[in-house]
Amino acid sequence: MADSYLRQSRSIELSTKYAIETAINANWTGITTVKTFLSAYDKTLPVVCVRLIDENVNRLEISANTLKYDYLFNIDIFATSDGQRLDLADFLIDFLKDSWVYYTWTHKSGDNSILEKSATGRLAVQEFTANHRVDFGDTETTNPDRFRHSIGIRVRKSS
Amino acid sequence: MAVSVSAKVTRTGPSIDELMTNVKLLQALSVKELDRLAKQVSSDFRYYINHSRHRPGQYNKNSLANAFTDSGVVVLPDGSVSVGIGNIAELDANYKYWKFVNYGGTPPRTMGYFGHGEPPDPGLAGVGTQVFHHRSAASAPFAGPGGKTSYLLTPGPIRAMNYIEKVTNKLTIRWGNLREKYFSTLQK
Repeated sequence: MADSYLRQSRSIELSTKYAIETAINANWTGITTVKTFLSAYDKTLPVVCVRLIDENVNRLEISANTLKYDYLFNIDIFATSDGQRLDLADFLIDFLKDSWVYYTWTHKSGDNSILEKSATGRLAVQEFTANHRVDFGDTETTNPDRFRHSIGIRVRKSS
Repeated sequence: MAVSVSAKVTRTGPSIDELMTNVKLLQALSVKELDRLAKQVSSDFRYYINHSRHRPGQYNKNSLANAFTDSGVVVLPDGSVSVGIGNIAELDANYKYWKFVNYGGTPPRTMGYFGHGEPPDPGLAGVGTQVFHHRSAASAPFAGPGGKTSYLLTPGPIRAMNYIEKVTNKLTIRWGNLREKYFSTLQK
């Protein structure tokens, strides 16, 4: 029986990565989804990297103890061609606009090798903050950065 | 039979003159506030870059962290106000690595020479006693007087710092707070 749980930020990051990975695997083949930036370079392209890069915390109302959290995600696409880059970006935006399940992730105390999840809400995009090609100029054909794309989203959990 | 009706309209709140005074006051305040906001954003760039750097000991006033200065508020002929933070042309010219630091990735090799361009002394590897002279394609030759060209290569991909995204995120909060403050001013 799981008896330790991950806090909200980690659960949101994992839930978002899980949702994107599941959607990609259901519609595409051969695409790896990772959570840390440098690990994207260890995988065979195409790779999608989903990272929680910043958080905003504020009081929901003056003098209230309820907090309002906004989570800033960056989704890096490492594609094998320009067409694939555009297709993946459009697919992800189309998926993200509809919101996705928030899970609370738990594990046995002292052993986080197996995570269990239970749906406890939804996550929704408040704003698409970026959606553009990352152009480094002339890059070698073997460079994983050749067809890079960056999508930024600000996410909020349903209360 | 004609009926004469008279009506008296009583309006409450500030007069037109008072409203105009408030609008002028808000415009003056917004220029001041925007100027302050621009300086805060510039400071945010310094903060995020300096707090994410891997070699925090090496501060330099010409570093990337100090490159995002504000241009100063400009009032345009139509009355709108504008301010710029950083300059992409300047970044491309003087801080070619700005994109790699922000987005992460593998930068191309940098060509130039060490010291006077003598062949490298293996005993000095990693010691860093010789200055590297960067040479771009426009400023060739790549080799120094000693005739030796060197390449600087990053050992692996650079981790994405995403300082632009973080500053933009912070700006959204600051802008929201500013709007809230002005709306509450207008409602008084």
